[in-house]
Amino acid sequence: MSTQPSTGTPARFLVRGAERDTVLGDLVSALVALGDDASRATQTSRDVRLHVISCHAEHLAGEVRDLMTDSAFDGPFVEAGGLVASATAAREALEKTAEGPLPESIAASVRWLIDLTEAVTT
Amino acid sequence: MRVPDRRSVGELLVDCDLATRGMLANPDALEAAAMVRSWPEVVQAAHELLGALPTAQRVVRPGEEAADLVGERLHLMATAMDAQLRRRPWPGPGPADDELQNVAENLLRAHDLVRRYLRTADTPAPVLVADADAARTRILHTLYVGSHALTVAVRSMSGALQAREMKARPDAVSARQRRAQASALSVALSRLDAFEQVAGAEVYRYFPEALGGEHRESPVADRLSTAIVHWDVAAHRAMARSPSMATLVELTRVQTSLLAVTRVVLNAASMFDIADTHLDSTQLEPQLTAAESAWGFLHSTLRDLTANRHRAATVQLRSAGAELVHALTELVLDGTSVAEPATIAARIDVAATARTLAGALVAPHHKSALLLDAALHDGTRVSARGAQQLLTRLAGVPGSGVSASPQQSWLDPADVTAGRDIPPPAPIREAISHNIHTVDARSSLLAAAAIAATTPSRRPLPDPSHRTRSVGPELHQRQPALQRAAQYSRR
Repeated sequence: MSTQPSTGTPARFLVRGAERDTVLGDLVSALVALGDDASRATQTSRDVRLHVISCHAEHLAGEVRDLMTDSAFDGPFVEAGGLVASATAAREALEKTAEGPLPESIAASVRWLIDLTEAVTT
Repeated sequence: MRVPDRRSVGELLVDCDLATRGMLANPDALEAAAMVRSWPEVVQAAHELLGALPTAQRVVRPGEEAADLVGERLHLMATAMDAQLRRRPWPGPGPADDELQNVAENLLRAHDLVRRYLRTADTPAPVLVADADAARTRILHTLYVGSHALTVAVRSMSGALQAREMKARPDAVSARQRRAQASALSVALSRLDAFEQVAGAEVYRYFPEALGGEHRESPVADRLSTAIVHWDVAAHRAMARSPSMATLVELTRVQTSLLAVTRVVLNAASMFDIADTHLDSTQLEPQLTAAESAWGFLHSTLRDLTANRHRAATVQLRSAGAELVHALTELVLDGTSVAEPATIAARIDVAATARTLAGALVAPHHKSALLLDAALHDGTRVSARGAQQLLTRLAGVPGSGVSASPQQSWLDPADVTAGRDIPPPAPIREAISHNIHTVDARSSLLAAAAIAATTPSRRPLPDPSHRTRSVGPELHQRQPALQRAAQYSRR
């Protein structure tokens, strides 16, 4: 029995799309976690940069989510691990997108956001 | 059709800097021969631009030739390398490097802009000198990083050539060619090493401190007020048309941030005594802090109840929120640091911005009134895992209606395990409702304080001792009314 999709789309493109969504989904999850951790930190700190991180992270997550072919893709569930850990996770997720079609404008914004987070935590 | 290049000198130089840094990000893709061919043109363009920049001692006028000594030295080094390599078989004629060609074109364009638009004055203003120093540092940094990229490429090629030499058959002609190429690479390497050292020594005298003087465009005057209006409209529309948890999470997140930034700007205004008599920020501070805290607490509750896949707010709401946050970021951040009050005051009209932000403080009260309907909409779903965590926290709160084993009574464990979304259980609805009522109360007080703080104060009543007596002595008599009436009747 053939496992080829009936749509006629070559399987390698479907796989590539799914892999791409996985990579982007990881970045979405990492950004949401980063935003949530920054938001949690605002309850004990009056550093206004935490608010900026919280909002930008959520907005960038939205922009990356828009790039996904399967917008319902949930990505992995990321436990709150604190700002340092979530910044590291976001950087790792961003690095994985180097081979994928993440627009440079979004990648640059994510890099700046991570730099800002590292500035807050150091 | 050719699109006109509207980049400023600063933007062109940042692009040059980024382009050379980008080369080092992928060293395997570097083409040594093409880069060596293009390098003299880059250094020539940088030299001309350095000569066109004003310094504290002089302004370069059109037609004048001015020497930046470091630029001159680097230019001579690059020219000498080019002259030596022209007599050798490598790199020979061939294509140029696109990236370095772009850098050279950007430098030439920047040079043209400086020569065309720089206003001449005998004594350049300190701001102009600081901006020119930053530009000089940026150009030298570009040359420094570019030369390093070139060194990496040439060294890589030299290594590859040596590896081929080891494997090659003893063939007199090809051996001679390889030796000539190796000799040319060696010349290039020694020249580039020297270039990098000279450029690096100059760069690290000023980098990155000198970049602090780089001219920054002031925030557009009405960007903030426009963003606030768009945000207000988008938030109302989203709550009316798509009252989801995503909407509420986005709304409370941005609203909390708006209040936090307002606090910072009002603080800057009060520190510089800029807040005029029409805006008494001291009245606002306590109400602002209380409202920020209430909105933040509501946001944290909603955030923890909303799973990743249900965070997608509408594009309109997200765009309006992003634009507002960008406008706010522009006000209060300086790179990755919080801007000093003096920087904020220098960057914007603080009094006008503070009034704009204070005027926006009335809006949260209107929004909070709509929140309850949106939060407790029939279609509202919350994360079972988030609900479990909140119920666990509520179990310790007297009067919350949650027993000691909350998940058993209010949640299906299967929903928690599968990470499903569920209608909010009664204690969760009660908690959200309570938080929204708190937000409403605090926002109401904040709105009242904002109105009071932004309303011009009434003219103070004159001191009674200085009142004129023209109103008639009778009105100031202390006698009881009946006695006064008797006096009138006796007249």
